[in-house]
Amino acid sequence: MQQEEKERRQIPGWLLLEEDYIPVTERDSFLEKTMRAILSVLAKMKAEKEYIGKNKTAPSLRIAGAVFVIVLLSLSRNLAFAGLVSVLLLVRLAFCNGRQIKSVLKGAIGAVLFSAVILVPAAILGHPHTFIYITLKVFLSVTLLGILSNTLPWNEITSGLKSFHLPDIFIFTLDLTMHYIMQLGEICYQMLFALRTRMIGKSPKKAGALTGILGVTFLKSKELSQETYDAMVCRGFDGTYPLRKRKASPAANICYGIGLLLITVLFFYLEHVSAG
Amino acid sequence: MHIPDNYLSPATCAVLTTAMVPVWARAVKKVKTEITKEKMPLLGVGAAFSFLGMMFNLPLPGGTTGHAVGGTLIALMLGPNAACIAVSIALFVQALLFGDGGILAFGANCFNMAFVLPYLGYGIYQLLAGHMKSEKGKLVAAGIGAYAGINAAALCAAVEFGIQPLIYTDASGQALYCPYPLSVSVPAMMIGHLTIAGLAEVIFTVAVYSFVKKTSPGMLYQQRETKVRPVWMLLLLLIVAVPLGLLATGTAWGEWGADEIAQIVTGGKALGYTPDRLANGFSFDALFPDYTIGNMPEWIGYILSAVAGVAVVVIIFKVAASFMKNTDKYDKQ
Repeated sequence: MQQEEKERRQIPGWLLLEEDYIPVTERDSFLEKTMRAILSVLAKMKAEKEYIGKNKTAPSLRIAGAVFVIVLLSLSRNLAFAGLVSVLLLVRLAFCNGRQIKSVLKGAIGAVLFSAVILVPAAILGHPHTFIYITLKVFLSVTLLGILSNTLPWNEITSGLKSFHLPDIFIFTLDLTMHYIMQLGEICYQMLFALRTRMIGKSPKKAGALTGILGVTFLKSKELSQETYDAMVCRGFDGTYPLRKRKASPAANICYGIGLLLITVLFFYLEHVSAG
Repeated sequence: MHIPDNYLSPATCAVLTTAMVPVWARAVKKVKTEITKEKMPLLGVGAAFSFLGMMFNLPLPGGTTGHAVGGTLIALMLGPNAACIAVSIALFVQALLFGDGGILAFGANCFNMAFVLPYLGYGIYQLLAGHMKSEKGKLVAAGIGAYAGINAAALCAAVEFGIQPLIYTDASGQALYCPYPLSVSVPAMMIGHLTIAGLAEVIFTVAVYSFVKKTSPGMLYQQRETKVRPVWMLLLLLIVAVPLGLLATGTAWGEWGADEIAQIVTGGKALGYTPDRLANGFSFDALFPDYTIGNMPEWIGYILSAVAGVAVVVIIFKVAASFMKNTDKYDKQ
């Protein structure tokens, strides 16, 4: 009896063991990387949302103008026009801020490298001029679109598309997609953060954790889409997107139009000079 | 003063580039502490002034041309280290996009115009400005610094040209690279720079410096108003006026193409041959050679080149600023 009591009062052996668990530090910290990537996309979208463009030109005109210049660029057959466009784009780029410039150039450099690799045979087979010329054209086109997407917030892009009579269902899908990327991104981030705080050392089931998050995100997205749609219907949404016009400045539009006209005139002039 | 490729031997280029490496490293390190992230784009403006200054070619005695550099000007506005980087970037853009100044000779050109010029010009200004009480006196000091800076740079370029025939000749005694010895190159470079080009540098430096001081003192001193608009207007004015630089029709001394050097008359007789390496040396095709754009009229190409050059240097420094850390004001207390 006494013996039993004594044994009961004693601290169990497993409690007396020295704690010697040292978690293996994870080398690539997979979760942190994922979180950082998601955060950077969200931050960019939020920054874009807060960005109020100083550019008073109508978004639809800017989109049309960009497409038009790209068409002229691909039709042109002399270096002079490409040179002119590159000067204009450089000036436009010089007025962007550092973050925008970096993002535009990143895209453009990627495209240039890709086309350069494809065009290497042209340079080797004795057409170095074609190599330089086409790479320059690719660079200019991608830079032009990069500047457009970096200086036009996405809601203005949708409104621009609306004025081209794009069916509402496309705009609706695009609009909701943009919303969801932000909403679901935030949910993803919260779950990853929760997982990170509960984890010590190296996890052998990283992939499993991620599938769980993806599954929950999918379920959440279904829930959210229903809620969003209901909310929109409650507020009187009937499937049509009215074109809400921003205070467009006619002077800016006219200036932009004159600029486009000048570019067109120069295009024909330079083509004519090079042909003659 | 832009030394083209093949006028200097690769060994000379290598020595001068190696000499520039520690200078660049120190300048970058210093600029990071001296200049805040917000002021970084101003370096681009400085480089733009330098780029434009170098496009105004002036006719010099002897049928050649010369130009201002503006290195001392940037040193006065943002310090000599910033000037070193700004002029280097301007020279880089000129060499790469417009074929003005060689790719191999880039280090040599930087040594003359981005190292000797701004540091010496700024040093002399500091030395003299300490003794000057009035604002006018300081402007005089700036002018003297600019004059000394550009002439020292020209002298360095002349010496680099002049030592080539002493070191490198072929079996028949003909020079392989620059064919003119020191006795020809030094007077040829210095007469032009001691007179007209030196004067142009003084006027350019003093005029722009006093303009910036008056309209946008924040660019020079901390906690003062920085007005960007007048400075941009001045840049625009310079861009529009840039075709004036085309009026000087000659080629700058030491910047002839391989096809024209044989006919150049120096000291009463034409050279009569094309140095071997000049004819068959390294060649690099710039995108817009000699500031021409395709088949556009020369003056339009010149203006567009000026616009593109200014835009590129501004972009380079804006991107550089975006990589800098935010200046933490709490550290200093």
